[in-house]
Amino acid sequence: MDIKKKLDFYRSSEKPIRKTGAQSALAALQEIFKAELCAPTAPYLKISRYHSFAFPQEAGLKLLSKYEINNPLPLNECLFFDLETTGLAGGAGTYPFLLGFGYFKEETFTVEQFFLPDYGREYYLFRYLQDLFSRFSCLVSFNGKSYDLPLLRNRFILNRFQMDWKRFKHIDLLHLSRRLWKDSQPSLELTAIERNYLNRTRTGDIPGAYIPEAYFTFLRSGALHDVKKIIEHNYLDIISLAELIVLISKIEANPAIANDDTVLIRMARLAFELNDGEEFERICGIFDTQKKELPDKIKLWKSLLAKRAEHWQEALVLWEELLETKEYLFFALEELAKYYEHQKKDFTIALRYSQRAMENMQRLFELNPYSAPQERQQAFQKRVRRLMIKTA
Amino acid sequence: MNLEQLIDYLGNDSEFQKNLTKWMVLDSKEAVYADFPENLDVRLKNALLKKNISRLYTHQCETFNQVQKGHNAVVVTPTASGKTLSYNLPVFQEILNHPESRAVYLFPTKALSQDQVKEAQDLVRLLDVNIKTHTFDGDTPRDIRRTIRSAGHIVVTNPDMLHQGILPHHTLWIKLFENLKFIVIDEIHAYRGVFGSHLANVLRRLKRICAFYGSQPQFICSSATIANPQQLAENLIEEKTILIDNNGAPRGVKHFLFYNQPVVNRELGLRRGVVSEVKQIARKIMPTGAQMIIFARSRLRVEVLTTYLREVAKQLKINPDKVRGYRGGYLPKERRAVEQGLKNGQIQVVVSTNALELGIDIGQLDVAIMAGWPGSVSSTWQQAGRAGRRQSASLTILTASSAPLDQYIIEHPDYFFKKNPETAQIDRENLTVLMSHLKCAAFELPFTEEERFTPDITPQLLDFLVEENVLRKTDGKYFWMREIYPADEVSLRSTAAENVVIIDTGGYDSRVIGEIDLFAAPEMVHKEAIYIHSSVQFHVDDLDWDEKKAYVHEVDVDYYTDAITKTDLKVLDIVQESQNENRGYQKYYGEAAITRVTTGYKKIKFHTHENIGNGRVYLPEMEMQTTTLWWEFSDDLFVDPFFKESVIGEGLKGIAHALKNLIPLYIMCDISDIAVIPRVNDPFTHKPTIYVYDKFQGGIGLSKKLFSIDSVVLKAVNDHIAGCVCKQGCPSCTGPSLEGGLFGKESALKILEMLQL
Repeated sequence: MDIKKKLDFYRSSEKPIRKTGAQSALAALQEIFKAELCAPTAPYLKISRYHSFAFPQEAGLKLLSKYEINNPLPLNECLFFDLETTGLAGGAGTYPFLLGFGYFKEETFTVEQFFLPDYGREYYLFRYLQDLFSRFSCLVSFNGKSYDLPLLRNRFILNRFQMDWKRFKHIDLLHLSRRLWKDSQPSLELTAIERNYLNRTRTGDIPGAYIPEAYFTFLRSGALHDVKKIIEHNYLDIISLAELIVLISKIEANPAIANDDTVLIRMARLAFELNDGEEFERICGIFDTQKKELPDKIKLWKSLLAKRAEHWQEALVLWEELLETKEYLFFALEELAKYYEHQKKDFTIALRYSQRAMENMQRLFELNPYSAPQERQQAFQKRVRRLMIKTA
Repeated sequence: MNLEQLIDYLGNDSEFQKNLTKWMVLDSKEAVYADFPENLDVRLKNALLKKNISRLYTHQCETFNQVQKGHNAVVVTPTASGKTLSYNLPVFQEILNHPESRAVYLFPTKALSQDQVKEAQDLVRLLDVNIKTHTFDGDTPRDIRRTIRSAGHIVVTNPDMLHQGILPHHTLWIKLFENLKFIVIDEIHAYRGVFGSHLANVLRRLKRICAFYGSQPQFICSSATIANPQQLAENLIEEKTILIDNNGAPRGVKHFLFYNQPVVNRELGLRRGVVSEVKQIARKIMPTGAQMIIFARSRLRVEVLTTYLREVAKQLKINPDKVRGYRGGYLPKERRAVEQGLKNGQIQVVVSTNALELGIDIGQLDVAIMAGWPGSVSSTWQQAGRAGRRQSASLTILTASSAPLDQYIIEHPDYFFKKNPETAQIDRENLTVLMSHLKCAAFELPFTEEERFTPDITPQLLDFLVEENVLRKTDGKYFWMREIYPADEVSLRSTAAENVVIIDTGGYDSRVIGEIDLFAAPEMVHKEAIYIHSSVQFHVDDLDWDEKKAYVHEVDVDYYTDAITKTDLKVLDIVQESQNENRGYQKYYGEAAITRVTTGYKKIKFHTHENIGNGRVYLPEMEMQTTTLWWEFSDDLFVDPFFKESVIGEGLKGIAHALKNLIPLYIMCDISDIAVIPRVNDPFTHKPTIYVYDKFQGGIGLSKKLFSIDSVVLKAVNDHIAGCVCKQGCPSCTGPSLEGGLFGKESALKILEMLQL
């Protein structure tokens, strides 16, 4: 045996010396967050915090979830989650190093965060997570459908755990928020929603884009500063998820509290798209109680719902009203023409409406050749031609 | 006049005969059949019977049997010999018996994969079973992707998609990877050089992932005729493979003509141009109505020929739209339209680059004309294979340009008919390629210390990546530690990942008419260039280098442009050198940095090819690091007062000219894959020197191969120049004497004779 091999042999019999930098950093983190050090052979940190929170028993989200959550959802069935990862690209090589979970139990909201101080520390954690997940039937996330959940599934597979994901409902609060507030504010990031609707601002928060690099720096040097911020950031995200689902379910129950007509319009549109007349009427009712006239857009949907239900009188009234608007003039003329042509078989009136539309379009065209709606114009042309023959 | 009559007519046309150096008639061949294998599933038998197939060709039967025995196989067959069935049979047999089994089909291009899906779906319909075959590529709609991932039995894709879209997301494909039984790689001869080196590494990654999910797929490959199909297959998949080359498909009579353009100026060694000569030949054939493919060597030549032949069509009262061009850079939709048009007969003549050499299904045509030597024996056979219906006669004409290699081949037809096709080289261990895929692999699954991605040096490479902070090593495993998605940074087709898009601003709306790879862009779409696309000329108004966009508008001018480029070479490292001191030269193999810059362009008039103007171009240099071979000539060679510095220069230039053209005969590569640079007083060696380098980032083993056989090649260069009939050098040997100066040929021969070859 040559000396090199001997030395190797000698070295391998020595006890492995762990890098003290990372180890002391981990100890410091444990101290700061009063965390629990789990799985000593592949250690990770478990940080548990309890947030007192008066929450309703159930969340009704039928309309805003587009019927995905049909019945009121017991909140203690929900597992809230959010991941911090080594990259935004996704794929098998993206590593979630901080996994935050939250759930309601009795009067408190419990947040459990798991910090992985290195790669290859997942096995025992995921064994634990398997148990954790088994206690819930619904997952709640923010943008989790396209980002966090696929990553989580990756990690279960890569660690060779099986999980029946089909068992879970999954509420992505980003989608619900979009249905409420899209275009009401420039950004629908969670922090923006917090600021605008949950009345909470963060100070010293770490921007998401810096998170991967901050973790790499920790791995290389044991630098803690940014990791502490990431843990706080993730904690606040989880809290916001809980607050947000409560707020959204309150708005669903009583849209008036949103105090925002555009929210009402969006909800009305949702009800219209789902062909849900009952919900639609409920939202129209809010305008009535507030003694406000229905917005034109809602009138349009309402007229179409009435048409679908063959409530012609109601539809006619709405179309007559819409004739007075600039935006829906052609729509109303077209619907009226269709009504008189196909329902009443009164071709003369139908022709009158169609011709009125053509005249208006001609005037528009003279003002601005690009503003005239081409397809509609052709449709009216056809209609006029047909009606001329029918009336002749 | 039909094709047979035309062939007779050409046989009696003495003007035409005068230019032929060979008229080879390849006899028709009867089909060789084998009965259905006994264990062939009865459902498959019945489906075949419905297709009027009651027996198999021998190669189909043997592939089935070998695969059934559990071997990997590579089938070598010419085009249109039913190779698709060779691999479909064993795959379908497996899926019929084990419906959870899965297969991946890999095709070098998207176009090919779409063809194959149709064929497989046909078989499914006849079988009347639920076997799902899907293409999965960049064009696959999102909502279908999920279904394919979980339920597709046969996933048809290309290496690029496997590399970027499937492997990095392997967790979405559990069903596939857990049950993967077969990987079919069609057209493996397309995977040589850079592309092949990449594919070999992609397959390493694929196998790693299969192992993770506990599957061990078998490989079935198909190849056109090359010298080393088995070796190539084994190089690609790194496993033992059975060669199946007993092709049983029938073939009609094939006339193979070697045509040399008449000499117009013996002094200068000038022959009539290939383009105009091919035009004349095509004019003879077009009235017969025979479907014809013309292969041209460059994109530019495709466009010029298409333009000419459309004019010819007009004169012959044939609808000019029956003449179409086809090449890379056309949008997929345009290409599909041409393929379709050829199949249903709406297109009579197609002028193409070697893009149509691959097995894209365009049916079988009557005539193939090669406008110049296609670059290799195997390419020539493949292009010739485009002509040839099963029953009737077909005609193939090879025309030669003045290029030395063309002249060599055309004057030695027996060399061609006797020579084996070339070997296809790949270099799995090219460091650039290897490293890219090692990173991708680490992203997909962490490496353990014991794992071997490449033999011998895996741990060193992984440790290097740890030092570079790309990977992190912890507890004996290597983990990916970057934010990026590494597969996005690697293109399998070239060493440059970026493209320049070409935007036509002339019309009502701006629209993208094509794209071009970054290295070629400065030459093709520099400002003021005439870019020809679909025979339409476009003037390049601007090349926005930062945005990688070229803005063009349609014009109609009577010239085209030819870029002037300048290349600089700097030796970085000497890896090997020859020991022999007293042969008059030293040879070296090493690494070099190449910078290439386009400095200007010439305007060349159509038809007369006069130079009618110049212009300057200001573009950044393109940089490349590659492998190179160089010969350093001893000063003692040049004591004769004949060797003035300019004369040495002319001589080296002459040798370089012949070298560049003859090298592809000895190592399988395209003439454009290598570059040769002569220098009278090289700043690195301080001696007269000739460099040969691989025109690929990192090199792909061409100059390395040349290093081992250089004296054979130099000897051939000497013989070729000495044997040329011209006086002072011509395009066929040392280059045209007007360009090479008056002493090029003499000087080159003197230098070569002094070397102890």
